[in-house]
This record gives sequence, structure tokens and C-alpha cells, in this order.
Amino acid sequence: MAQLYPQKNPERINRARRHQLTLAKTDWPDTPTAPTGTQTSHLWLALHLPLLPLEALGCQQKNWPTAVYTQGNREQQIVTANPAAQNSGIHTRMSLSAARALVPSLQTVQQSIDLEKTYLRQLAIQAGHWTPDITLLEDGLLLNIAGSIRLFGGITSLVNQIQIWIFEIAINPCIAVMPTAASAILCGRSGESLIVNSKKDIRPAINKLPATYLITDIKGRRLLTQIGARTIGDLLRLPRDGLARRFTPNLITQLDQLVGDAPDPQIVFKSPLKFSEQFSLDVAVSNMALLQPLARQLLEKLCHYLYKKHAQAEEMQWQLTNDREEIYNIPVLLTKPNRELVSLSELSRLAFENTQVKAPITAIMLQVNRFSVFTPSSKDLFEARTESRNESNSIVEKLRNRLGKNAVHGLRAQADHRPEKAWDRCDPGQIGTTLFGGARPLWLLETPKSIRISNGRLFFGNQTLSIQPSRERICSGWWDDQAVRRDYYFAETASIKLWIFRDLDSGSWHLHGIF
Amino acid sequence: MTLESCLRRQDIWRSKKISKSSDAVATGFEALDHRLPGGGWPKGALTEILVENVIRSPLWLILPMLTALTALRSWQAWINPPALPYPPGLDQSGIDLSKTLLIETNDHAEILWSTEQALRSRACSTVICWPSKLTQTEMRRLQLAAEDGDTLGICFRNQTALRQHSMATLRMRCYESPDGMGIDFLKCRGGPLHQNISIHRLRGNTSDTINT
Repeated sequence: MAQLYPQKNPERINRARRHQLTLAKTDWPDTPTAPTGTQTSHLWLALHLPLLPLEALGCQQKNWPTAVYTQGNREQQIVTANPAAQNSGIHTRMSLSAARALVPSLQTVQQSIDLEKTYLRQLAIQAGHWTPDITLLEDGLLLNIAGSIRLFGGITSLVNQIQIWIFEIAINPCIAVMPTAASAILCGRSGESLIVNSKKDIRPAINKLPATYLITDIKGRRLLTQIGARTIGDLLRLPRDGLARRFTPNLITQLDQLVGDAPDPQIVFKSPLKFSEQFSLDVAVSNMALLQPLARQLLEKLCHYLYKKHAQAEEMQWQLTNDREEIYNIPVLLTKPNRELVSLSELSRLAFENTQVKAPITAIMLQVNRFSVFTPSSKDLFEARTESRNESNSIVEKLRNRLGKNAVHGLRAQADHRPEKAWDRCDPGQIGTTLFGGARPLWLLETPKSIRISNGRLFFGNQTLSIQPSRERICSGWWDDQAVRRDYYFAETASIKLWIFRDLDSGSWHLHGIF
Repeated sequence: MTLESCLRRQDIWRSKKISKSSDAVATGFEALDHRLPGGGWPKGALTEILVENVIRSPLWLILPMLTALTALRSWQAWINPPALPYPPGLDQSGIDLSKTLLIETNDHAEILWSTEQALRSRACSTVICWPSKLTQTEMRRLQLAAEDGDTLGICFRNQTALRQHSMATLRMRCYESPDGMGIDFLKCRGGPLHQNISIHRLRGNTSDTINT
């Protein structure tokens, strides 16, 4: 977390300032107020890390000559050397034995592609502070910053912030901003920091770059020298069909992608979502109310995290540990994904009120187990309606968090002939089946009450029941050992209407419902 | 201020004259509508109905109102009912089951808390509750919550609470009589008292008895 916010280290910042980039053309808005809707949604920032193999291995010392090698076909080759080693004459693609002969004190480490990937992934997670649209390259990162320019106060300000951050952690990084992904990567690799923001300026920026950046195989390079094409500008000037015939058709696509004439989709890096933060308390707290400020701090962190990740929490829980090492899990029940600090802290407070702890609390932890994508809803023209929708969810959440999940339900009808099975409790808002059949009462007694019979008449309290002749026979449920065989009747006293049945097996009368 | 404008105020009550306020929902029973100020159950207020036995709370009496209000807001809360409000029966009566919120808890404090929250939330069109006992202060809290959330609250209680003072806007006692359901008006803000009616739901006719 700490590295996310660039620390104000004056020396570093000055170094970054010295590398201050200049804006080639001001087509792109440099002021935060400029509208962005009219612009294209792609502006690529390539972050090239020339010493990535070293950094990934954690070789940070600058004064001792250090180099990373890899096992080539025939011999071990130097991949990267730090500035100290470069000053002693070590360069890439030199054989390891030659390098050792040149600098006997050279420290060498074998390259690890896996570690480089992990390192880049960590960097990408941090870079998520500026944009969610990040691609992992083999030697750096590619950020689509088009959508973030206004938020971070203009393109120069944004690039400066990224610069300050990367200069903090990497050696000699190179930042290139270009309208196409391919050209940004190319310029980044060339080591030349620049910002180009309109398509027509791409060609001047890449014309001077060596053509060998695009053509890496030996045969192709030989051909390049034969036709006298040294730079990418030379390649762009040559007839396309001839180029395709002499090299590969793929080269034409590459050139088109460079200048933005061909689509160049990038694979977006998705950082794994995970949130788990905790506080250990110096002084054990037994009053739950005293935990509230700490809980709020954790929630603030969570909301910041969710905001950055464009996510919402779907399931979250608190974990309190007391001084006897007992752990209390307090789930916060959310009816819908949420990322509002106010409502999350209100729900947490209710969930806390419901918890009894036996011993003082020594640690508090907040975990979010499931996330969902945040899809902001557009505001309704009739504000009041939207408000009420939020409220309607929040009341269910509130009640459930205070009373527990089992105290708050919806009701729905179920397709079953047996009256006691023709319904069930469900989550509020769910819809059951529509039933057809005879009239049903408004109250149902969950256990039917037997009816007193005297002189051949049925009595309810001390009132005689008059029974309507129509009856409904319900015989069902032989399959699950809860069979019923009953004749249902409507019965009335002067003021109330009842639903009674006669059990066909025992012949006894029971009251089952009240209308 | 003229006398006319003064008399037009809703909180001025003239004896024998029922004030017509728009904040009421028709009960669906003509005789009852006729008696109640505004012509129905008062909205944004608490109505207290005292019954002989809470398990026989006359749901049919409030059913037309429940059906009429169901579309208004997201939920209709049933808090601590003494028996099961039977979903197939409610469905047949035209109540939208997907808006039903059933809250079951035995703790008195929790019943009060959830009733107050539901009344105040503006997410419930109706809140029907069956609290075991209520002090005057608690009743007042619920009445204020109903006013605050502009929610129609119905509170069924046993008639042992008859002698207790109540803060509810409308307070009535329902009893079973040979003529049907008898209703005593115990308190009726903005309307006349001492006029008892009886409603016969099964035969569909009503008869009035006036005790003065």
C-alpha cells in the first residue's frame, strides 16, 4: 500500500524533473477542465524498464558491477548489466565468459522469467492507481491513460506523477506516450522519453528509430542492409507490396499498427481482487462502541480500494480476536453489492451490536470475500423514485444485520396441495408460484386446533359453527410420509369465518385457518 | 386571519363535523369510511386496533387498504404476527407477496426497534405490528416514526390495554357481536367519538348504533 503513494523524496523528484517531458503538440487537453468526450479513447504510455531482469531479482546495489545472464543456444549470454558494469565495458549479448574475463569482480545472476513476470504484476497493481487499463509487456508496462488525463489534472501532471512513482523503484526507466500502442512500446524501448498525442506526429517521432527494432531475425537484417533501409522511416517510405514480398506480410501489419492504420488490441491485465486489513490493538477493548472508530478506518481503506478497483463488495465480514485467542466472525449481510462508506459503516455498527464478546478484543480485521464490478446507474429524472429504491434495500439490510438473517423473510406461495406446504419463507422480494383453487384463509394455524363437538354440533369457543355445504377434499403427500387426507369446509360464526377440516382417517374435526 | 381560514386548518376540530383531510386511505367499508375523518385510515399515522384475541386480528378489515397501498412503496412489513399470514390467502386477496416483509422476533426491544425502523424508512407502505405490550412512551415513539416516514402503521393489541392512554391517531376496539364485527371508537383525532358501528363482513350489510 505504501508504495502506491509516491513518497516525497526531494532527490528523486528532482531527478524526475530533470527528465521532465515536453509536450510535442497540445492537441490533447492539458487542463483539467477541458472536455474529454470528443477525444479518442486511446493514448498509450509505455513504461520501459531496461534493467528489469536485475530489478526482478532484487539486485539493487549500484556501485558493484552486476549482470544477469541467460543460457543461450551455445553459450551463456549477458542479458542486462547495471550501470557500473556497463561503465566497465560489459554490454548485452556478450558471452558470460568474455564478460568475466573483462571484469573479474563481476557479480552474475541467472535470469528468471517467472520472477520478472511476478515483479511486473506487482508494478501493474500499483499502476492501477492511475488507470485500470494496463497491459503487461515482456520488459515493462503499457498503460492506456486516455481516460485518466482529466482526473489527474492534465497529461503533463499525470505523466509526472507516474514518473515520480517509477523513478522511486526502477533504474533508468523510460516513459513514452504515443497515440498507438505499438509506437509507444517502440519508443519506450528506444530509451527516448517523449509525449506525442496526435496521430500525425507519430511518423516524425519514429522515423529515426532503427529498423532492426521491427526485424529481429538475421536473414531479415541482412536484407535490410542490402536494400539500404536503416530506419523505420525508410521502411515506411518503401512500396508496401514490395516490402511484403521481400520480408513478411506481417511486417506491413506491424507498420500499420505503428502509425495507427490497423487495429492493435491489447490484453488487459486484471489484478486479483482481495481485501483483508487488520488492526492490532495495544490496549484490549471490551466496549464494542470503542471499536467503531477503528472499524471506520478499515472501512475507509476498503472504500478507497473499491473505488480504485471499480468494484463493489458483495460479501464482507469482520473478525474480532479477543485476548483468549478466540475469534468471532461477524458477517455483514448485504442484499446487493455496495461500496458506500456511510451505509457500510451503518450496517457494520448494527452487526456489531448483535455480537457479545466474552473477553476484551485485541485485534480487528475486515475481509471482503466476494467482489462484483461497479456499474454506476444513471440518475433518474424523477429523483424520488431512485431514492426509494435505495431505501428499500437498505431497510432489509438494516433489519437483517440487527436481527439476524433468520428473522427477516419474504413470503411466497408454493405449488403443493397440502395447505401447510403451500408456502415458504424466502428472501424478501422473491416471487413464488401462483396458485389456483379454492379460497384460502388469511391466517393459517401452523398446528391445527381440534374443535369441540357437542350434541352433533361443532363449537368454536361457545359459539355454534354453521358449516357451508361445499367441501374441498385434499389427499396428497403420500410420497414424503406427511400424507394428508382431509375434507375442508368453510364454517361461520356470527362474526368470523373459519376454515376447518375433517380428518378422513380419524374422523376428527380441526380448525386450520381464519378468514 | 379570518374565521374561515382558521376553520380550514386541519388541526381545528369542530364537534359533530368530520374534517376532510386528504391524508387517508379508504377502508373499503362504507360505514367505516363514513365515520373516519378523511374518509379512511389515516396515513402517516399510527392506528391502534384492540381485539379480544390477537390471533383473530381482523385482517379482512385492513385488507382493502393493504391492496390499495401495495403499489406505493417497496414493502409491507408484518412484524411479529401471532400466527402465519397465509401466503396463498393473501395472494388471492390481491396482495403482492413479493413486497411482503415478515419479521419474526420474540424480543420486545427488537420488535419495537424494527417497527420504528420500518415506519421511519419510507420504504414500507404499511407496517402491521403485534407488540406484546407498549408503554405510553413507546407508543409515542412509534406514532412519531409513522409521521416522520409518512407510513401507515397498524398496531394490533389485546383489549386489556383498553384503559391505557394512547398516543395513536386512531384507536378503536373491535369485538365480535351477534351482528358481526362491532367497532368502538376510543380515540379519533379530528372526528367524533361515541359513535359505534358494526360491520358484517359476511352478509355485506352494516348497521350503526349510536350511543350518546
